[in-house]
Amino acid sequence: MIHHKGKIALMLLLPTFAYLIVFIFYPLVDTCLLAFSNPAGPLENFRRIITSGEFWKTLRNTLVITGIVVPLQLILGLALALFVNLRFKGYLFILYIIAIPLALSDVSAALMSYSIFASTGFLNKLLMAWGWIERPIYFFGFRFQDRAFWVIVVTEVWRATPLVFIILLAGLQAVNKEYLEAASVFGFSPWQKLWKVVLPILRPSILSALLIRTIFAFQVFGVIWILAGRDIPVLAGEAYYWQTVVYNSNISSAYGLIIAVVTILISWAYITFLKPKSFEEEAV
Amino acid sequence: MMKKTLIFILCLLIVLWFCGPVLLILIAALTPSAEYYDLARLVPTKLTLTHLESLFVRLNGWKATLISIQTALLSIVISFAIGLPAAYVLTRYVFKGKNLFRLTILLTRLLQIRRRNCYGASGDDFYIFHPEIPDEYVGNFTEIRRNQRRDFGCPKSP
Repeated sequence: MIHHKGKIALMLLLPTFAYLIVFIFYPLVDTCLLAFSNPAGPLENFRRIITSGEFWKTLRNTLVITGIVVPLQLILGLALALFVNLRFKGYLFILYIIAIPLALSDVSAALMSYSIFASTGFLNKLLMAWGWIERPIYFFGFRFQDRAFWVIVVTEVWRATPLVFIILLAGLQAVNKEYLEAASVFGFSPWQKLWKVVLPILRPSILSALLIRTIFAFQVFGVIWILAGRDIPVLAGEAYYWQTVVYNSNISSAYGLIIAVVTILISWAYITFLKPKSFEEEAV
Repeated sequence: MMKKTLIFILCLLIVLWFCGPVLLILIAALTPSAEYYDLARLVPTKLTLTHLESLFVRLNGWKATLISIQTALLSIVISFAIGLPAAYVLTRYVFKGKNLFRLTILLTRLLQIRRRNCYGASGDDFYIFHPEIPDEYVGNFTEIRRNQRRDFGCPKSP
């Protein structure tokens, strides 16, 4: 009987195995082969990338964007989740409104942001109609990279905060009301309740939201490619550029591997330092 | 009363922040070009469907839409066919290496994988632009487009 069951399980898992082998392991191995193959030696591709000077700017941009965008999303997402979790009248409506950006691709979000911040965009028109400025402010172009950078940050925050919000709201709904009642009995202030009761219970949700958002922020590409092109180079954008414009799959694969290694390192750090304490206690 | 007003104001801000951009791009899509590029014209005097018409009819947008819908439906069917049995096994059965298997599936979200000689068809590289859209609609993406045109085997644009 057990043997029979095992056979069924194996058969049900087969399609996924086949998928993993064909679409994940084969490309992964192939990417490694490409990244390490060069007539001048296996590490030549990486040497070329690291010594190109562009690379450090690229890595810095990616890290800075991730470092600004992810904390902002976490704070905003948490604030929104706590607000909606008050369950005031009509909170479901607000929930759906917040979920709107989830339905949009990064390309459409970037184009929306462009239609607002372009030199003839809505923002400039509004400021001029109010008489605050005489001539349009330019947000895009090679000379205005700093401004384009902030437009990208705003777009990314707008686009991806709802994902953090949904994860945290789901976590909040699992918080047992009795804990909060007990805290009230002990005379906790709302602020204390948040820090001593809600946030510790929410820790696993915060961890998964952080993980998902950091991984995706590290692969950010569409928004930047549309709003700034290669003026603000990022790792994923460089991988795309080397593949589709320069036609150098080796360098592109090396960039892909660099992204993978850095994301794995960051994920490992998160899991190690933010691991919920109860897990460790259970293990012991 | 005080609390209710505060909640209302916050709700209003949230609706503005998340709906505003969507509404603005909708208006921008319906504004005549001359008025869109006129800095002094904040609110368009009239709305037009010419942009939508040229997108869907002249630039073959309907074809792109159709392909998107086909791709979406097909990928839903295939991913459910592959994923559902595995999900069933992962919840119902206990077996060695279950966690490793689950982790491997999650790991696929972590990697950006590129593949040799598979432009376009692999789905790894996305094409923002339809091959039949003339270059003047594309602006500063001409360099990428030239290469994409080459991949598609499209004739060179004048």
